[in-house]
Amino acid sequence: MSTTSPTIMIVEDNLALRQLYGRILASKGYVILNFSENGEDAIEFYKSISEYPGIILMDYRMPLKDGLTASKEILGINPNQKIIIVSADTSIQINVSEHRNVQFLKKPFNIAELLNKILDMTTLFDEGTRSAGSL
Amino acid sequence: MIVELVPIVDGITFIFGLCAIFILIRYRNYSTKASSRIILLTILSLVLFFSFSNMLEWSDVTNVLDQYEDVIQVMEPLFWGFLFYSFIQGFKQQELRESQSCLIEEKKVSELLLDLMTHDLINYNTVALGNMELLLELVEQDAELSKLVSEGIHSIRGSSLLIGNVRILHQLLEMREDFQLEPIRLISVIESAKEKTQGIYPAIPLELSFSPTTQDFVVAGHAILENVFINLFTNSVRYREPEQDVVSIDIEIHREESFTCVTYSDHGIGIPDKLKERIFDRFSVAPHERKGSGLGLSISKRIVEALGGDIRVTNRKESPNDFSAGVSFIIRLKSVM
Repeated sequence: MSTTSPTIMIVEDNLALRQLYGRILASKGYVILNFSENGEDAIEFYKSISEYPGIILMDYRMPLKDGLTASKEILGINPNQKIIIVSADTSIQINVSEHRNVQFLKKPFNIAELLNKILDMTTLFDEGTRSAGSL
Repeated sequence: MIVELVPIVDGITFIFGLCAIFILIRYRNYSTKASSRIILLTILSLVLFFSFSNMLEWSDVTNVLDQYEDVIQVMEPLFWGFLFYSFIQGFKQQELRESQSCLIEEKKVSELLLDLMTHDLINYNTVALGNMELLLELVEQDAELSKLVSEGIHSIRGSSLLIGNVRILHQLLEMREDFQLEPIRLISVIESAKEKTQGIYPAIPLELSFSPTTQDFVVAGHAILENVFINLFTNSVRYREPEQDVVSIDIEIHREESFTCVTYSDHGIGIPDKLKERIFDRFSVAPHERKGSGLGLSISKRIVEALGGDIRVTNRKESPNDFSAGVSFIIRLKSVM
């Protein structure tokens, strides 16, 4: 893994999935900045930090606040934030494609698909986020 | 003395009858079926009628009403008929409301089941798939273990594909009345479907050969059109010849009046002629005659028809009488000029 790997924030209500993300990403050398269980927690955390994560992996269906709403609010704070919305519901792809820094990953995914998506996000939009953290 | 009591008894019977009808209507939700309620209502109406008639007959009121006898004789059956009709209508309305309420409840249950399948089960599948892939990396030196884990991964992907198809089927049923068509670039849809199928079967490369190679075609479609090709690709992988390491597919596209016609041909084991007629009907193909759930082609047909097109299956052109030479699907979609 290169030394410029982005830090990752994971927003997912399913514990087993959070653990899986952690396992996969840690094995590939990524640093997980934070695990949030829902959109509200994620926004609260996001507002509290000065070093934004390189990429946010955001589940769509979550209690309290869904991933799309949370993403919009996060983009309101930092329009350069790169977000990957992960969902089995492909009908939200249209909403996701409205913003260039937001991409969609369909559940269930292969490890390769997840890593490629993260790599795509890192390389395609390399121009600066305000202070996206990197290793 | 007894004679004086008769109108009083009739009057009491009349009041009891009225009360019984009131209770019957007021607590209609607690009674039995509509047919039983109608029979009970008929009996009560007759009781009311006779007690009321008797009461009038035994009292002085009859004398007063004698001058209106003709009018009463005409009005009386009309009154009872109207009363009876109103009650029946009331019961029918009640039955209708109960049916609607049942339907709403059933819809909620089916949505809950769909939600459990498409959200919770997919989450379980994602976790299982990810962990199995991590496990595969750990045991890749052991061929036997790798094979077992790969089979597990394959089953999870199959289950996810099935769940995806159930979701599409539900979407189709929900959208059947307001299906919004939009211009779709056909080649992009096919390429995207290929990529997604490749994600399901990463070990089996898919090779597409387009004819013509340069021209793109725009059809009236919807995002779910992609699933038709995912299902076709999935079938081509499942029904490939055992020695096929690469699945090659020929896709020929041409305009046919107001339609764009796609001929999708693979080089797999083909479909026996006896199955061709019913291949799109899930319930007509026995489980031993197929490798998957049988839902894919059935849903593909529904999608294509919902888009105003049609799909059929045939033998490959170069060997029309030999079903073992692969299979051709011909899909017609509305063109966008």
